[in-house]
Amino acid sequence: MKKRIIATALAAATFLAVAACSDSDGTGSGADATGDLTVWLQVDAQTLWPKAVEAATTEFNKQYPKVKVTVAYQAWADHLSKFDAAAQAGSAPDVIEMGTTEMGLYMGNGAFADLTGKKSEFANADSWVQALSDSATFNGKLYGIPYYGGTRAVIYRKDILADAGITEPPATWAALNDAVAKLSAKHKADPTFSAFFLPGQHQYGAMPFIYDAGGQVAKQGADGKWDATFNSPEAITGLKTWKALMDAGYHGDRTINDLTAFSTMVAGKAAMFYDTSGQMKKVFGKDGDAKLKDQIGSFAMPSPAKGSGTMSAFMGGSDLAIPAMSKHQDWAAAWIKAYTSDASQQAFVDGGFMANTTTIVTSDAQMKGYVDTLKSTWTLPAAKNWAQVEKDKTVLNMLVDIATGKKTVEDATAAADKAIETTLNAS
Amino acid sequence: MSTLDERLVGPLPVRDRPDTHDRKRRPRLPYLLIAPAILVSVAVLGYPLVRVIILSFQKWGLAQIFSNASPPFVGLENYSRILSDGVFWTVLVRTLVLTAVMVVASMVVGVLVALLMERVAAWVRGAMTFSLIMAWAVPSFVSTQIFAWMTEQNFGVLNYILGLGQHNWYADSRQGLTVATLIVVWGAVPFITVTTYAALTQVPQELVEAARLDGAGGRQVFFAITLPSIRPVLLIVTALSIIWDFSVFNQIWILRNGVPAPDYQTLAIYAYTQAYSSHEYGYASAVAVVTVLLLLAVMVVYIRQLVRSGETE
Repeated sequence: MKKRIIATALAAATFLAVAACSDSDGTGSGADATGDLTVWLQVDAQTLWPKAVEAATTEFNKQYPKVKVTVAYQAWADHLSKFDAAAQAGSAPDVIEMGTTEMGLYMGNGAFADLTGKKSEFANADSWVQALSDSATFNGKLYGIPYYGGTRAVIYRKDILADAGITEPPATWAALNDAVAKLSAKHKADPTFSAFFLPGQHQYGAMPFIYDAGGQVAKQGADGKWDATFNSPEAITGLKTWKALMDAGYHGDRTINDLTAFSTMVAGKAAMFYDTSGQMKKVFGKDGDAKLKDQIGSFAMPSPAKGSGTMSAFMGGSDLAIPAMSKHQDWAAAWIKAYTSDASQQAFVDGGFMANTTTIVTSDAQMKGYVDTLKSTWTLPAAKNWAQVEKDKTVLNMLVDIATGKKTVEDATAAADKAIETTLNAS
Repeated sequence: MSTLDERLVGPLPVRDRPDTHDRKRRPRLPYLLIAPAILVSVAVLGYPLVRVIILSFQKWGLAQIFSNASPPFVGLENYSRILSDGVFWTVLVRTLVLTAVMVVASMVVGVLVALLMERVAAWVRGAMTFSLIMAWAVPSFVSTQIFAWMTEQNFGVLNYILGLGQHNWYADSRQGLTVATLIVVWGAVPFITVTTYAALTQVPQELVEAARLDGAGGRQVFFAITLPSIRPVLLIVTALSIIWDFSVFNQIWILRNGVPAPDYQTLAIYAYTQAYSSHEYGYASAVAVVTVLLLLAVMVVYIRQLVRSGETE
């Protein structure tokens, strides 16, 4: 008897569990379609443009009134681990936001649905930023829709620069070095003051110097094999220039990343740093000091190699992809279409990022430095295993070793190249 | 015992079932009562353990997750990769050294503080217990963050107190790991102290008095009477410390902003980065299995000693 009761209870529990799993299968099409659509966006969307997300769902529900859209906000640090786990459990989302440098690995492993045939349905498909559409393209096929972009520019405090006699943002490399020298002299008594906040664990602060000097991080040979090129003469020159700026302007922990740059600037201990517009807004955002809003400006990093003009900036950003195992790929595409409309792109720009198209730019004077960089941007090679290189932290560790002086630029890059080539050329 | 069981089980209709295979009619109620606990243990602990062991013999990466084909079994490939992986052995040695230092330091400090607590006035003891419990209640995530601030290069209080100027504690991993060790010891001392103090209160006072009358000094009393009395507790606390410190993760991970350089990695961090950063779930499972086996090897020595010390007393 007892056994039977337990067996019955177990059977009932199993039945409930199975039933709970299967209720996400939707049925029907168009206005009659019912079911759930799960969207994973990064938390930036929740903080910077929640209205655009709501508007997209509203627009989507005009077409599919009975489909319930659930937007789950994720953190950059662990969203891929969660995605792996969800996929393994068969409950992957129907739409996922991916960082541009994360795309290659998942495209190469067949994780995403091919959107090549649907490309023309999306807004601005003809004028997408090249760096973004490149990041979502693998073997000539499109696996993601450019979401928004972000470049880097120098963020500076007008009051601290003016205090040292600098009234115009530096337009040339020589002027920038001059400004760093003047600021350092002015604050000589304070060993914690950084004229230019530039820690080692920040690859998008360092890599542009490599590209500016005519180098690149890796290139693919005719045989398809990857060759890491941090150890090329151009890249070494670039990294030495980066290190020289650090030596001249940065007085802080060289092993850290850029995430405390904004708070250091708020504290008046940093005059300039090189980062995204999101980090710039943090200076006067809720974690910063609202009073500083008028004291913050941006300018494009001047080019050290060219002597005049600006440094070509790294274009980061996000794409929206549809996992191949999603059962609702049509719904997912419709939601993405609604979410990447012109109105949404305007919201992303207002939120401080770059649109996925060059036709929508901000008129905000504070963003001038970022708009100026749009003329020339680059992205990392779309190698299947590049995300792996990022995850291994090979580049970050190399940069920290250079920054702390633990290794020379030549030694650090030679070791990193070797490790990166092994990773990039692994099957 | 048996009468009690029969009294409990006797009236149940279970006994009258004719189709029962169990001729001996063992009482079933105890098994039924313990069944939920066992079921939960199997579901929560056993299932993941079995999965990890199976995974460790498979090639399981992104390609397997996103294809419908089931992951291929690769035999001992993951394990042979560990043995030929130079990084693994470096990490293992680092982990063993760190564990030894952390356990010894936290035990010595913990026991000394417990001995101190025995001597001080009641109100001081109360204050000490309160502080220890408070420190114990702080999640390691928070305490590590606070230590990170205190050791910050430009604005940290440690450099200010020591007059080190702008010393960077993390450029050299030996110094950085020293800070991590301090945090671990700081976090472990409350448990060790409170437990040891509890054991100290159980030391028979008449023995201590008798020894003192016989002219034994403080040191002699400690080694001849106190230490043997609290030895079982110390052994258990040491064993637990080894388990905890061997798998230290949070302190180093947070101290290094989630990007521990290669010379900061312990076994737990190495296994985690292999699995979650490198998406190599099969290989990472093998590393985890090896970690558990290593820990078991260490523990066997301790458990045996524990059993022996029970026998001799």
